Amino acid sequence: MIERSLRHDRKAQHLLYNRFSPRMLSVCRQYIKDLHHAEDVMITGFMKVFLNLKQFEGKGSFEGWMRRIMVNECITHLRARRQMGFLEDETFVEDTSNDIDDLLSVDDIQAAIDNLPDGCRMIFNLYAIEGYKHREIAEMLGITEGTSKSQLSHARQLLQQQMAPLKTYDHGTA
Amino acid sequence: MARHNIDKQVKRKLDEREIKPSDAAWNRLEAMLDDEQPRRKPMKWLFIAAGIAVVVALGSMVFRTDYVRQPAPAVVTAEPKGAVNDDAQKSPVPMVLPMPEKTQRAVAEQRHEAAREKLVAPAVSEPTLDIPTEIAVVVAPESVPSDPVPAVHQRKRITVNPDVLLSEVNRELDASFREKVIRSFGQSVHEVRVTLSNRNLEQQ
Repeated sequence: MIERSLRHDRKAQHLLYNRFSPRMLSVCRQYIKDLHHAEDVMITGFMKVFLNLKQFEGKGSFEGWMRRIMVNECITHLRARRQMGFLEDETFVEDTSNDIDDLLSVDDIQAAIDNLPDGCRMIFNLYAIEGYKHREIAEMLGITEGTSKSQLSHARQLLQQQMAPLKTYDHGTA
Repeated sequence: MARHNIDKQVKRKLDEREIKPSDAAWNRLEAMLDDEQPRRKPMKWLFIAAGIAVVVALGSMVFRTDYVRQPAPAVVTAEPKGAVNDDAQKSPVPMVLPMPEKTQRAVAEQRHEAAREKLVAPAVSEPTLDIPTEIAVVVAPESVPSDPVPAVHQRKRITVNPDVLLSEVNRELDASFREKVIRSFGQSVHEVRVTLSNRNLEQQ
């Protein structure tokens, strides 16, 4: 499919799109609250995927390569809309390790992530979901590593605060 | 730093999630792709199909067995020496074309039949070019020995339409050119086959 897509074979491109678009829209939705905007960003991301397909050298997974393009596209989108405010808080607070309940639905989790401040949400997604390091996040977003760490810590605390009542409610003990 | 438990749990949940895009999303992407990446036309298949058609056409021409060489019609046959032809003297444009004996015989037979037909039913000439030309057909006695009518004394007046004759000559020229092309192509194919077979033998 990738070889045929390289030759501008529209049918192969459609097959690639059908296979990966649900996952990629999910990735975009992590960063962008509005689903329609997330879909716009996903389409732009797929456009870049097809235009730069020859740069994929087959090293690593194709889905991972696409995912990085989508994440970069989300960052560009949020930066253009000035939805990336960071609290320049250099004080790094060690997290208190608390689990969340496995019974929580993905919609509950997404709702909790949506409620995070823009900068916190971005850094949590990049670090916790995509697996970037603080140094890489700092380079990508033009912030310091300390800011990245403090924003992550803040995001975790906010998430736990939001999910605790959901956890109690889902267990039916409230 | 070790991954936080909440990170792992959120990641696991989100990695499993899929959100189906709207039906219009692909159409929008396709429109963008059409602007940036023009679709490749299937030119390769067109070329292959055209090549196969050419090969089949040439092959059918080369290996056609029912190809019949049409006899070359002539306007006037050669006259035997010493024969006095009053009609020929009357002819405004007397033409003498030397021809091989075989052809002379064939043409004489053809002209003889044509003359008979034309005497029964004269050819309808076109109104703009209706210039009947009188020519004499003299058939040598040795050329048609089986003819029941003595050919030397066979003198008939016939009416010939020059347009018809001109078109016959043109057709003959076209046929000879086509024949040359076919013969040269056949020779080339034969040479290639011989060369290939020699090479294969040398390799063995």
